[in-house]
Amino acid sequence: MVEATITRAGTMKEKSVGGELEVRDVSKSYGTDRYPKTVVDNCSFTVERSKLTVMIGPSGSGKSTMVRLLASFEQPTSGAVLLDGKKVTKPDRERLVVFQESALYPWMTTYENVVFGPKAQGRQGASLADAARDAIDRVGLNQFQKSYPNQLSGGMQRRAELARALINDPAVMILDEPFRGLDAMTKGLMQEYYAQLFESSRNTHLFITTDIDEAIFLADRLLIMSNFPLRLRQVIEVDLPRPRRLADVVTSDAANQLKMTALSILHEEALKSFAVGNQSADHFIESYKQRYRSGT
Amino acid sequence: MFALARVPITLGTRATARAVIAITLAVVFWEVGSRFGDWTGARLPFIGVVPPPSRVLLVWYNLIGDYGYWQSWYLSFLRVLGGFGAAMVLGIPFGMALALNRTFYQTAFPTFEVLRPIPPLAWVPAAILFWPTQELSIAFITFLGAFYTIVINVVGGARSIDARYIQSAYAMGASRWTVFRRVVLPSTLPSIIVGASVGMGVTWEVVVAAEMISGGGSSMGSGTGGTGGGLGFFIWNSYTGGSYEQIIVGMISIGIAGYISSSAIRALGDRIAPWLKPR
Repeated sequence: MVEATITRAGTMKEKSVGGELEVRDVSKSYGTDRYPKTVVDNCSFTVERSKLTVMIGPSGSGKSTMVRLLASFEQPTSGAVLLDGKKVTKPDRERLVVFQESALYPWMTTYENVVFGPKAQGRQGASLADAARDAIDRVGLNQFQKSYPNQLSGGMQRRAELARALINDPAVMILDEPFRGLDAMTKGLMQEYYAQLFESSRNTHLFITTDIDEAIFLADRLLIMSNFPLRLRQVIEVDLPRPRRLADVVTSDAANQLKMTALSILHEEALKSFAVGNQSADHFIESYKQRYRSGT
Repeated sequence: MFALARVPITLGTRATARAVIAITLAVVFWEVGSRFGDWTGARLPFIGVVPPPSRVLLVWYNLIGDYGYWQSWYLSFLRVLGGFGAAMVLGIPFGMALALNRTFYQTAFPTFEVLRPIPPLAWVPAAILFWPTQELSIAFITFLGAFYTIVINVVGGARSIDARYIQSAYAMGASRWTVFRRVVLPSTLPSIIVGASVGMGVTWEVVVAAEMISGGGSSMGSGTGGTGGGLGFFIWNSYTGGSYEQIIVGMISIGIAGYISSSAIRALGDRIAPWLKPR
């Protein structure tokens, strides 16, 4: 299956190696000048070229705000976002976002959704139709080309959205908790599927999540973020071999070691997002650690 | 959220059977209720004054071949379609402009909001004075009935578009025009359809009242069905002429006409917005 995907990707036109996205001293505040609410606080990091960078942090830490800044849907209060060294201020197709919940257009079929981007840029004809079929094929939805989003399951919707982003071949692909809300089974399948897609294209990807297992399984580099306001706490290089399978990673000692390291940092951050005096997060993470010490 | 407004109508045999039974029971109740006085000498309140359905049907049957009766249908439909069509043609762009252009909103919305609470029927005397013909006055009042509803729905729909739809469209390289045509317009369509079906209902209410008040406009046509001034005038004429059966015929005719109109809107809605169809 992996080979098959690679061959199919190989038949596509020359692939770009992806871009490099840099966040330089970015802060973002809302509210008035007198009562500013700082959501992102002097944050700097790099999404490296041709790597899958995973950003993990507690929920409500400002990650989605960072996504909107990265895609230039909003402007930072100070600092800059740079793509391949150039400052970016307007949304463009080099930085495409796959949103938390599906943002497929409900009034378009899968096929129409996928060709929306290329058509908007003036592409048409047989080459576009081929590219669209190829993209839909790659996410395994060729039976559902003429279905509307509300006729697709949650997992299919996410796949359709992946196809819609992939066909635009963005320099950087930004995925904001794309598998949130899926059931455990579907989520696992989607993770493996997405890992294959990445391994076959090797573009630059930024994947945002709150799920540590998902993060370790997918990441080349792991950005651990602080609790609100958002800052970079630590970078962990995840040098697990590719292609990866979920089953291998779950049982891998190296993966569990990385996970423990990441968890101990996240532990502090997660606690901050709980109310003061609430011990349940503490207990939860302790028991989580126990399980992994005794197991494997 | 739109799904709530659309209970899927299943035309199964059971559903049909229930509808038929319910209507039959209602008619039987009506017949017995209004004949009760003839049989026992003790006339029932309210329903005892209403002519029984058998007599209404007989009168209706005699009207089937009547030119004036059908002329009333035709005239009312013409006015409804005219007023409603004008309301759509003017209301959709007006609502879109209100929703999308801040300057236009700040300029035009206050005036709109002051005029909106004035009931269309309060416009009747003014309309009769302002417009050169009776026909235009009625059309104008019908137009008002649908216009406000359509505009409010369009504004509401266009303002509640999911911001991500627009953001991702721009990110994928769409121009402003493409975003309007392929994103804003289709995502407002459900609200437009709701506005249209509600507006259509209001139009029927208004046209009938306007016909009654204004005397039905031109007195084309002839025959026992009245002077051919629309269904509203048909009812009024039957009332002054003392034919209670004809009043009922007129009322049920309006019910049927309204049902036909809203079915047409629903069918059209399913046609232009196929993604909203229940699975």
